[in-house]
Amino acid sequence: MSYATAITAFAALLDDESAVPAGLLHAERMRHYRANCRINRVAALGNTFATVEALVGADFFAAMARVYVDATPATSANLHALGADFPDFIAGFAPASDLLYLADVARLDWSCWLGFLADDAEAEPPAALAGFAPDTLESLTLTLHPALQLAQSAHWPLADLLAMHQGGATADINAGGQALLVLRADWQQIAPARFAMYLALQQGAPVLAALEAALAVDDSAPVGEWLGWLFASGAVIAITEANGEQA
Amino acid sequence: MKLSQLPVSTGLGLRAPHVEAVLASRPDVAWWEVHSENYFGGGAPLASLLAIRRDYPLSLHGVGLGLGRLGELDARHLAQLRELVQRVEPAAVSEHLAWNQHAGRYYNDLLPVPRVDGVIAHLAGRIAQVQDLLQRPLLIENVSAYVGFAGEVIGEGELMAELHRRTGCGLLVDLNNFHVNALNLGVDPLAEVAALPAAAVAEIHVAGFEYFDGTAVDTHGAAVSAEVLALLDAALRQWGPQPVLLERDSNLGEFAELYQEYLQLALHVRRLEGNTLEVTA
Amino acid sequence: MNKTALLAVALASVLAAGVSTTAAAAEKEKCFGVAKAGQNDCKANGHACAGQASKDMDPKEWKYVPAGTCVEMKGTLKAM
Repeated sequence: MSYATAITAFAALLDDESAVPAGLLHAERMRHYRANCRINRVAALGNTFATVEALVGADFFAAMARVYVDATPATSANLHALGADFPDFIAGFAPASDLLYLADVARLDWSCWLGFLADDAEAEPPAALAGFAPDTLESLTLTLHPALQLAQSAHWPLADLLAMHQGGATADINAGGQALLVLRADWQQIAPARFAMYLALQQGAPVLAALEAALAVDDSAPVGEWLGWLFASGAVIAITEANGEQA
Repeated sequence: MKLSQLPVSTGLGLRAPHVEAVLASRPDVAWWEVHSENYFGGGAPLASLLAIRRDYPLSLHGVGLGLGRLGELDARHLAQLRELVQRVEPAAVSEHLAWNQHAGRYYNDLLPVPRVDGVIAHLAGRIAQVQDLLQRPLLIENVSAYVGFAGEVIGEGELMAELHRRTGCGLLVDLNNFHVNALNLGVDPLAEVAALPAAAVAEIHVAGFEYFDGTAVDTHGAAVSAEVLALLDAALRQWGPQPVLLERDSNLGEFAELYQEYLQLALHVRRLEGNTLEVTA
Repeated sequence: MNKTALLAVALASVLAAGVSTTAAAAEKEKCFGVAKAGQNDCKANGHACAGQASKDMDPKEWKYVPAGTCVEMKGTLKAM
């Protein structure tokens, strides 16, 4: 048996316990490997989607995560990198369909996770803008730090839910939609106009367009202050002019 | 180039739940080993690791490269590992002789490599690739196995020795895994140890295992067994003093508890090495 | 506010903001600490029963009931 044939036969048994155990000794012990792969992923999901797990309880979560894991081949060896599509799975998971907010909470958990583990990057100081004339901001774009993540639910109070799971009061699930930002291990609720502005910047819109996106939501939005906050918090890592040159 | 800069003394596996306690108390541990993948990315986890690195020698132990997988190694994983090695400047970098991916699908476990025709060339090529990328020797570690492969052409110790000869890599010898394989598959752990040349050995792992359904499983969740301690004795007699690591991953209690277990092992190793020196003198 | 005035105000706000204002720090809440990241390890779990397909994982025969903090909010969920 060649090396490739042996690996392929082993993988077939991991995928399907009824596959023929070609060339394997003690093949009945393959269940230990299937168990390890599954338990490792389920445990990692519980760590990453901690608010979802708290909401539904450990048993329901583990069972739900197991259905997801069995239906979704892992795309990375790094357990920290798995789970991007778990929120979408939850949205379509019939036994959780009464918990209408669960998928949005899962998206929030994933945003917190991405922000926490994002690569380090050097921030641009506010002074980096000093050399620009105001009208160049019309075409200037900012690259936001990957540790800055945004989450918003149209219907559910994400910030209240998160606060509840950090020792805060029981959330009123009917309090309406909320937006928040995550920066590394910190988070704060933000106004919808601020969410719109940061989302536009994150998606590569020029500064002017992002300010206008905020003002379209709330025409008295303090957009200058919000722009200043990004720089003051180290959340801007590059400034790019329209001609593509980095400042 | 030296295989590692690890101190020839006993180190301790450092897991996330203990990081804050270690940073706060700076215990008397000769060196630490962490799992590389837990520090891919930046932020607080990496910052805490760099803080520990300022005060202690550190070993980066990978669990996800999958040297034995078919096809190419994962380019992103390699890039993240290189970035981490550049930032941490560890005393040692190690990986498992295992695979974890097939036909585009990952298996989040350390799967044993079939020691059949083609295994040496396959692994030697991947090890050389990683060493070229990192510009330093890689230590490779034997894993535990629950199943065996028919038609194997080489023993595990012999394979490790041959990979050292071909690539210059160092050997990270997990004595608990040899013991688990002895229980599950009937290999002779002393023969595996005997197959490994002292000059190639760069680090030793000891840990505990548990039985599930009659299969010995290396859970790293129990005290080191008497058999593994006896194997450590034999190994140190053969190779002389080595960096020895205590690993604990599951049933992880308070740090203070693990620290006591570490201090006992460190004392045990010093006594063994004392005896070894007397024997060889 | 016209475009030019808007941009001038925005730019002035940034330059006045400085780094790490206390206002920015005060409104923050913590998600989690360094102990959070550590899911990759080299242990095995061993619970062989978890390695077998089982019928109770079939969504059609689902037997689990959400029993976490969502229960505290039960009855307050309105239809969308």
